[in-house]
Amino acid sequence: MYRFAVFDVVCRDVAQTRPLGLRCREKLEALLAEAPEDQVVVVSFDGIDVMSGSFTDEFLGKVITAKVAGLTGRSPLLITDLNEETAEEIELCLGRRKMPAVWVQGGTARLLGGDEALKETFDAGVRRSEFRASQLAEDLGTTAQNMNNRLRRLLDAGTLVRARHDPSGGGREFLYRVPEIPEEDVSLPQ
Amino acid sequence: MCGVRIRLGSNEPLHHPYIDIAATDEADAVFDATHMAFASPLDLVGLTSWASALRALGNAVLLISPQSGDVRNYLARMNVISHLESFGVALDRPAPNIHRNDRTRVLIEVRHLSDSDDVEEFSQDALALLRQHISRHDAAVASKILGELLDNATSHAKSATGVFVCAQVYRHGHELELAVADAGVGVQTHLARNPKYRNLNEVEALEAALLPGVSGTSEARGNGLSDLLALTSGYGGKVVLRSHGGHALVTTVNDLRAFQAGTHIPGTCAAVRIGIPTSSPGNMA
Repeated sequence: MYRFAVFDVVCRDVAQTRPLGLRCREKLEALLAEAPEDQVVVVSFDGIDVMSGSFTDEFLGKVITAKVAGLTGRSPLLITDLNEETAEEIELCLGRRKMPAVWVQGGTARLLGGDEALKETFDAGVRRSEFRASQLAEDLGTTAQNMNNRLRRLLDAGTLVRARHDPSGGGREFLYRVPEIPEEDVSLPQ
Repeated sequence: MCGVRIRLGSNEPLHHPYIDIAATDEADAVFDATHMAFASPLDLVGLTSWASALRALGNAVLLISPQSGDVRNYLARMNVISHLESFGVALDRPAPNIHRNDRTRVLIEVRHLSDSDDVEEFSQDALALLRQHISRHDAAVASKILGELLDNATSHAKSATGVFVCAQVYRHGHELELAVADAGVGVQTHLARNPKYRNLNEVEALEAALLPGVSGTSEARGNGLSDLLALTSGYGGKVVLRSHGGHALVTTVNDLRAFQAGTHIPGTCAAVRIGIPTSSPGNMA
């Protein structure tokens, strides 16, 4: 696991400006570029009490957008240590951009941002813990293609991981799951 | 020499669209505060930004002090006089010697911000002030409101004289005002960078700026001021926004918006005034 502590860059419990958001984004993007695909990157907001919309958009909004576009590596990205206000801000910011991110806290995983379809898909995935696209499509009464599209969006944003699991009858299939925060911690110097 | 005499009215002069301006030969610009009886943070930062901007352009600028000793002392206490002097604004009389008692629980004096680090430091102090008077959640909301104003001033405005900020709690009225002023390009010029908004006049630009998704950049942003109104709506206050010749007043509890032309000022100044609970520790002190 690679851990990025926002407070280490901000150094205060308030983060307001776009220039500060840019500083955080540049450091996180450098970390994402280095992290191997199979390593989770955890972004901790511990110590951050307040974030403005401008800061959040410049930082997280743009990082997630770049991630979905394939510009910042393929490792999963989890957000943690939010309070009610910072969670609300990220939800608002990412919702506007229709970009999703996973918030993991207290043993539960929640999708912030995205849209209703992605939230529905993510929640169904959490209930199953490990799943195939076909299973979730059946759970939610939608087509396999539609489900594949949703899972692709979640995967690109780093909110899901998948492993290949080819069925015995032939063909290609993937097993999806929500990434977890592992025990070990590799914090890169910032 | 033909200069201008800017007559600052008695009660919160920069809250009103029109400020009386007449010709004078005393200096290039005279700020006549003779009759000023009450000044809010918006007036303090607006006056400081306006006078320093004119001075930075090489004009001879003079401040005529308020007749009221209390108001003269208040301007000194809030660092308006020291900021004006640092920019080379002349005073009609020496600054009063004032005793500074610790009032960090109710005010932040006019502060000059020149980069984003200054902004973040001020935001931290403002949050500490807010937490003295309102709940942690409400303080976070108010801090975000302030953040949107500050980000606009420092990101879009980029003026040679920087940004001035101020905050004050009014115990008797149970209100708190946060104010920001810059002498930058103004809202109309900023929005005109986006071809969609090139033909707006100064009043129309203010009206547009308060709508979601309106930005002078081509990026998917521009929600700062509309977020500010949304955040403020729960607190029964008002927002005053003026930029060059445009003036906007929004009463946030019912989202009543009034836009009109006003006296031209350099740059932009904005204030948010919100109600604070009467049971706050600050009000019980």
